[in-house]
Amino acid sequence: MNLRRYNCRTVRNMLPLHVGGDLDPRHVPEVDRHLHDCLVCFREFRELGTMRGRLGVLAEEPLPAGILDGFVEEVMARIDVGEPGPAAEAPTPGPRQRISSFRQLSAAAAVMLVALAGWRALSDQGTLAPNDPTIDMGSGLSGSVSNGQAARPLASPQSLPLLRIVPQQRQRSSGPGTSSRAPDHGTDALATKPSVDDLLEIAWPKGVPVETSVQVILRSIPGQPGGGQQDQGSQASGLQLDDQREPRERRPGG
Amino acid sequence: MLQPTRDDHEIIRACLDGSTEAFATLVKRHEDRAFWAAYRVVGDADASRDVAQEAFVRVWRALERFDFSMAFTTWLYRITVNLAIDHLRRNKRHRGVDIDLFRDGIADKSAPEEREGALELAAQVRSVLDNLDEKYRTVLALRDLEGLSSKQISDITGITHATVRWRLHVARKQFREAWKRFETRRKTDLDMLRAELADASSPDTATLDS
Repeated sequence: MNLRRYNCRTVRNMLPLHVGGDLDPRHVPEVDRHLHDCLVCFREFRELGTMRGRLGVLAEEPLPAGILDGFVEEVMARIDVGEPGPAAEAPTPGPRQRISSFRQLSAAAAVMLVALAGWRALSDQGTLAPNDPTIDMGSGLSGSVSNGQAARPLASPQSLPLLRIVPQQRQRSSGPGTSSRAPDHGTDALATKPSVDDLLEIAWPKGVPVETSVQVILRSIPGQPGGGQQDQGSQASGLQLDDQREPRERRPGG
Repeated sequence: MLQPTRDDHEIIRACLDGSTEAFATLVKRHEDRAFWAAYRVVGDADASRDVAQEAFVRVWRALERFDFSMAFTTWLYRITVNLAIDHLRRNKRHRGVDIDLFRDGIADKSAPEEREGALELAAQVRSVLDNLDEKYRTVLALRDLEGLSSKQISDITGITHATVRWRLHVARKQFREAWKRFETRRKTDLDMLRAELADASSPDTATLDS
């Protein structure tokens, strides 16, 4: 008997673990000895045991009727439908592949910004290349078209995504050179609007067609498909993104 | 068809070789376990079924990373319990059990009065258990209902062994206190019911006396 070392308070603190056999084995002999001698602590121990027994009622619950009917088949169907298998390349976790609404809106806004910048730039210049022109923007201010064809005014905003403009090294100096601007735009007028051209250079990389730039932006968004099969309109709007989500099987009647 | 006595690790190796049939065997073998593990935390049969299914899909995805030094059941418990806790947090609160779901299962085993008694007791215990905080309830359920050791619970939940034991200690004490409160409340309700019945019968007695 060693009640001085293990007083009632100490023992009662150990009883919740002792009742489930979770007490450190080093303490068990002393606690058992105390319980043998102390009726109050023993009653507490018995009460905790009764409580644990009540909890055991739940452990004996049967499965709800039919709750696992077709369980295996549904799991296997989900796997067959497209869950990557154990030997697959390490996939990005499913939820992260999904594009948030915020990202879709950001993509749409970026595309619109690029289109607007291009539209404004060309409007200010008042020029438009033919079907597939390359407008020399960087060889000077005196004005000429690099492919030898005359530039034409932009007919409509709808034609903008089809434009293919090849920006080249730009020189803002007033020295001799060529320009794609319309004939009625004087040299001074061009010199006063550098910001639009800067915007053009920022909007798409040098030598990259406009529609390619749009694809680059869309592809930079995680989870966005390459877009080779969709039309440009749907790419720009991001409307097809929901359809790319992983299908989720639901059990019949579930 | 694979033999049901095959070792889990052997089945997993077959899965890694590309056998979906082996995986179906694995699911069949452990579907009950996954369901109950989810149910102890979530407390809703349909939601627990969904959680268990999702757990097996996650197992399939990550099977290549399975650590053969551990038991498959520990890994399955870990995935299932974590998904169940996520589900619970998303849905904010633990849903009480629908006792009617279990009525058919119990009907096979007991006489009607025993069945009703078992159902009532299970509902009461479940109701008291539901009042515990999720972190205590999870540990208590895994230990006292699923029979896992505190070391296994530590592996499953990712908390230290000492924390598991502390939570177990707190959970058992809280369950006892909650059960006492429940019994006191029930006794009070019964006393009030008896008093109301006595009041209802007293006018007739008074009429007869007069």
